[in-house]
Amino acid sequence: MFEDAILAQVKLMVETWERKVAKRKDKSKLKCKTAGGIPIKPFYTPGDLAGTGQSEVGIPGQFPYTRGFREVPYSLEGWMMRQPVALGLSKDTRARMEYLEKLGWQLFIGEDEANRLHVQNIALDICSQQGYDPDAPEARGRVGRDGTSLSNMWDFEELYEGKDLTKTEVFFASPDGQLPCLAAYLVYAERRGVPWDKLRLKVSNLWYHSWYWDAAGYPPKHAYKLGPECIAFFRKHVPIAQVASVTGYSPGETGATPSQEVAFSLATAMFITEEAIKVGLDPDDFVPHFYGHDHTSLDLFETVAKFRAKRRMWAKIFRDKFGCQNPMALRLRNFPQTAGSLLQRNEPENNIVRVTLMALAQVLAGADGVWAASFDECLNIPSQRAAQIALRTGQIIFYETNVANVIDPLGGSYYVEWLTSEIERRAWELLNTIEEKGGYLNCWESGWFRSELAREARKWQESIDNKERTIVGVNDFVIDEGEMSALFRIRKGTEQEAVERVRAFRARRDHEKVELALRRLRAALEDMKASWPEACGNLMPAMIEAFRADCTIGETQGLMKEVLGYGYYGRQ
Amino acid sequence: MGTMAGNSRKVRVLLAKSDQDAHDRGIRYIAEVLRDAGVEVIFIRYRICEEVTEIALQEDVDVLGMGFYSSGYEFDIPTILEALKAKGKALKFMVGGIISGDEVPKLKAIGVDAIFGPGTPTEDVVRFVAH
Repeated sequence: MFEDAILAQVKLMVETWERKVAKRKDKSKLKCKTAGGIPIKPFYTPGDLAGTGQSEVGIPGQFPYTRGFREVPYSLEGWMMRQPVALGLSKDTRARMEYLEKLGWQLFIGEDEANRLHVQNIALDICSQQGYDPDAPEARGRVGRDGTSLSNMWDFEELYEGKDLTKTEVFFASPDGQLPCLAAYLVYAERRGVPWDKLRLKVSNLWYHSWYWDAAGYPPKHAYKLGPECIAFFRKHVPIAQVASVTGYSPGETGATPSQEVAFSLATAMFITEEAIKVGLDPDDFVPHFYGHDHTSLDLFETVAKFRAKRRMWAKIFRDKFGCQNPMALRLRNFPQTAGSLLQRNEPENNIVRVTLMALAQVLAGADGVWAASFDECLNIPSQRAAQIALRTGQIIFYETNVANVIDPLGGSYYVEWLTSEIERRAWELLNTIEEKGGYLNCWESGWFRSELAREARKWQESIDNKERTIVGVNDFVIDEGEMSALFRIRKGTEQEAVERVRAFRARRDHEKVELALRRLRAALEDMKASWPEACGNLMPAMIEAFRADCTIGETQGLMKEVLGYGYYGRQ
Repeated sequence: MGTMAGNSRKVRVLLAKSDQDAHDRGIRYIAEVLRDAGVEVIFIRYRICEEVTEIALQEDVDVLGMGFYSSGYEFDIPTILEALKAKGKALKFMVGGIISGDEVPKLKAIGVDAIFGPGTPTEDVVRFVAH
């Protein structure tokens, strides 16, 4: 990237510096590492960019997109604000969201009133996520506690009644229950008379998501089929929907280093693409509808470099490996999340600072969305005050700091460019290793992904235990504030209300229609299990029929777990 | 407390998460550290209360440890403790994860011996189990 004369001059300067610091007694402390364990130097120069050509860096909005996809800065187009709002029952969630909207929350920060879009990022409570309706014994003590209870059409009605669905981006955080949630929403829209091709849906398609913490509902041999099934259906019927999340957040939270996160998430994207091609889909058509959900750490520069490296690798992979012609297929939109695992229970207000730094890293890295977490998430699901502060965090960064005015402001930094290339180099090596180990699915089945991540997670915790790494207020500068109690609890009586509601809902259904729809759903699931890829395209329509017959999330997801999965306690 | 049968026997600890939970990073770390400290660790991943109780009996463990990332521990913990009591099984019960401070006295009153929230030094857990 630099001329020889400049490099020679810099080399002399660096030698002078080396002579100066050689005299220091503490020079061993100059050897540092990034949070992800990459050895780093005290400063970087043009000499460190020998392997990074100008074509690798480029300019914003052009291949290889190291510097992002934007042709204009955030100040013109804003960024998305996508943290979830979900608690108690639908009405509680809706009330919280409406409160935050009064404070200025909309999908794109900075957009004027006329273009205003709403966001409904719904995290389901743990029992709904696992396919248990509120009256299942397994749901006891859990209804509405870690997210919204979502089991039947009345819940969907209460969430969305009166809302302009064509102006609301909807996402359901329920990795194993994605198909039932989406089918229910499509049926709700149909009853409202809103055409599916006007719906703004973010389909998570995270059939592999819970494998990261070993709690998946379906084993790899069947789960992967859900990917192409979703993509095929939504490309056909909901053309503006995004069809698959490529998550780096889950490996990140499980312990991944940045290069592991990049490699594992790219391997996921390649695998999904290959499987979708096998059922006859065209990557130029569906890859533009993928989106990333990456991890943000407190190592600000490493986070920036990681996002930049992943964009560059994505562009190369989809151009060179899959031969995509559609320029949109070479751009992975990224909606990262601030790391939950880096928030601390001790002195929880300090998390406001941590989240601010992570949100700033997302912006400096050119993310498409900012997800600032609430500071009290290590104690409870967000209190209203904490959710408000999280919203304000994004707004203050946008409106008060001027960082929105310049694209990729760290581009050209010797350190950031070097680190971008270094993370990329390590990630390519890991992608080769995944190939050598038999490919993506095999790396799950053999436990390789998980053991690699567990090793890194252990190293991380050991470095905290042995105080090699300082966490303020946790392993150093500790003060005793006594036990920390939850700052927020859902309304008393929430569970009972949900139980009575789902029972009343079931009581008024046409039971023959329900039974028939569930029989057909079972047949479609058996078909997917037995004859793939021929059966692709059968499951989603059967799921929609089930919700037209007013089946519940528990009934439908329970069947999925029973037929494709490891079994379903709720049905024994 | 427990069923320590002489000096030769290693301390046996059963580690589990609730069937309705997620995020096993913490409990897996604890499992490895305890194993390295010479404890016999039986780690059974995500299980329903009945399974946890049954395995605690079958394996005749000295310590039961459960981690809760999500809610529901107010129901699971008494359920397991009562079932163990009904079978006459005594053990040390430790709990980790997101436990609200105001629940701590209630859990201790029903028989939880130790609660290790986020940020607890790992050596505290090792000391509790091994001694």
